[in-house]
Amino acid sequence: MVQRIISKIVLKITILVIIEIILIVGSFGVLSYFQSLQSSLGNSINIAGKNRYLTANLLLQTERYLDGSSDISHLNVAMNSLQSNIISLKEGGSISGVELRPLPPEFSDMWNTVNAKWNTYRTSVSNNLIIPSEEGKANTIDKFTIRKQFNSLALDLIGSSDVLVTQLGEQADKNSHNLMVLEISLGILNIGILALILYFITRILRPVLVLTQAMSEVKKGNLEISVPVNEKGNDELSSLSRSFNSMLDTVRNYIKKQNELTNDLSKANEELKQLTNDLSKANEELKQVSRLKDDFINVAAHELRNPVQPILGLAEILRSTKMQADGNHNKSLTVEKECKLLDIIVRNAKKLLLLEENILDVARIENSSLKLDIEECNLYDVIGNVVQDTRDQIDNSRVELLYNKMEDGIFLIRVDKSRLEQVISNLLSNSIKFTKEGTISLNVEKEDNQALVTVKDTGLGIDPEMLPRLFSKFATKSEKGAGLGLFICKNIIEAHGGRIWAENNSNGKGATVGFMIPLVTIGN
Amino acid sequence: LIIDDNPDITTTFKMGIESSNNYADHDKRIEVYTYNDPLAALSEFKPHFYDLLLVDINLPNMNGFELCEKMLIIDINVRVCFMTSGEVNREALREIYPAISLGCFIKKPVTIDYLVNRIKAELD
Repeated sequence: MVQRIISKIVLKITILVIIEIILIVGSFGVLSYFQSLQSSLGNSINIAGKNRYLTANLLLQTERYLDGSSDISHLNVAMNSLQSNIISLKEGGSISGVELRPLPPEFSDMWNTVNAKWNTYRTSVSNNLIIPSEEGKANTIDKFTIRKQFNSLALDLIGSSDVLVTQLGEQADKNSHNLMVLEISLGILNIGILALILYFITRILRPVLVLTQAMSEVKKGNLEISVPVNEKGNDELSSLSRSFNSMLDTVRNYIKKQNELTNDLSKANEELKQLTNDLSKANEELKQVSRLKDDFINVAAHELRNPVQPILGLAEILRSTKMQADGNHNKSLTVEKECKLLDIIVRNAKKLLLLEENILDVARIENSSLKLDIEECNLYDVIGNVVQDTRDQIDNSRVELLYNKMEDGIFLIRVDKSRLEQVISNLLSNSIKFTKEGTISLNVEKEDNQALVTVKDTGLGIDPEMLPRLFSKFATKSEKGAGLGLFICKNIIEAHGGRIWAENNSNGKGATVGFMIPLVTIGN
Repeated sequence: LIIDDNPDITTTFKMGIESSNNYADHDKRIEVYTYNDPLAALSEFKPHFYDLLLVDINLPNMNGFELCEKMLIIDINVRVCFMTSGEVNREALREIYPAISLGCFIKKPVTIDYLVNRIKAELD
């Protein structure tokens, strides 16, 4: 295809060059034609000028003949010379070594005048000189008149020849001016046409140049270009440009598609990453739950088995010492010692029972089968019972319990008494457990028709990590407790329409756990 | 030497082992010392004094293995039995405490008879 395009371009350029050459040659032809016209005009001027000399010669021969100093032959020669000169002036031909063109028609009038003057002169010669000689010798008086007549005829002839010369000269002048104008015009025309041809050549070659440039741009990786195309153009280069553009379009589209695909892919990748993240998060949460369960089983096993050990061991010891003591009082234990061991057994049995109750409560909560035995009672009575029950625990520790209640107080509430006791007892024993030494204050207040009970201790406080999930199942970090107590408390309080919360004390020592439950309004 | 944070258990074990001494020959009697706090047990630990350590795993402040590692530095010859009432995963423990022998592992609760027999077996 390129071969074809190139040969077409070469053909076009060749045609243009040939046109230019023809034009230049034609110009030269025209110019030399006019030049030759001009030079032949010059020749005519010369020949016409020669008339003057020949006329003068004729007059001289005429006079000499009249004098008798020469014969008729000389006169005839002079006459023939003038005659042939005048004829040649009109007809053209070769004369005195010069090629002469026929006289241009516009000068025929003037030539006719010259010719007429010549004819007059010749006729006069024939009439006055040749014919009289045949009549005998002309008289001498007449000779003067004849001479005068010839003189004037010759002058007329010379004058008319001069007019012709002048006219020819004027024409030559005019022609040479016209020739100059023609030369300048042809020069300008040639330059113009040359410029036009150059313009056409550039126009032909421009698409090639543009295409080459575009290709080098593409080679550099710049695809955001297009080659200007003459839409109406039907030539090979236009179609080449068009196909180049469409190729670029295709490449661009391909790259765009590829980019889109890459984008889509990275988007999908991003989504996948997000999904993986979510999954691993969910997995982490699941693991956390599973770990909590494992922890719970471990802790629950520990908590359930630990109280069994003293019960089992001490019961065994009591039995074996009783056996040994049978008949041997030295080896028997004192009653005091026995009671102490039995106390340990009872305490551990109670611990075991409490834990079992807690586990059952959790199961009930999970089953939504926690039943409340609601009755109307005074909050102070409930708290009083708990304080009474924990008195032993308080006495055995180095903790002081401060119980602040309002003077006039009857706090009427509708609750499950044993459940509320369970909650308060749990909060108190938690505080005792985490306070080795210090005070625990139990406060009861009234706030917006609600009873507000807080237990504030000066103990270890709550691990900030634990705080957010303090009331959830299995929330424990210590070796003591299965992490069920506060979960049960929360559910009991919420079942009564109240709420429970916990916070570390602002002075950085100990924690406060509190709950609110609705009061019974008077008249209700 | 028995270390367990539950005083009821140390009391029970001490009484149980000592009462078993009633049947034994004089030279085979077992002396029992108890601690409820591992820090106290460690600070008062005397080398070449105890034959056997009975260590609970779930202790406050440091666990039984950590306590044991520190005690073995003081007395390399002392034998060790671990006790726990929780669940035991020996493989996981071996990874965390590769230096400690887990040969003797007592899972509470146990009868006094079993405990005494186990201790005697370890001491022989």
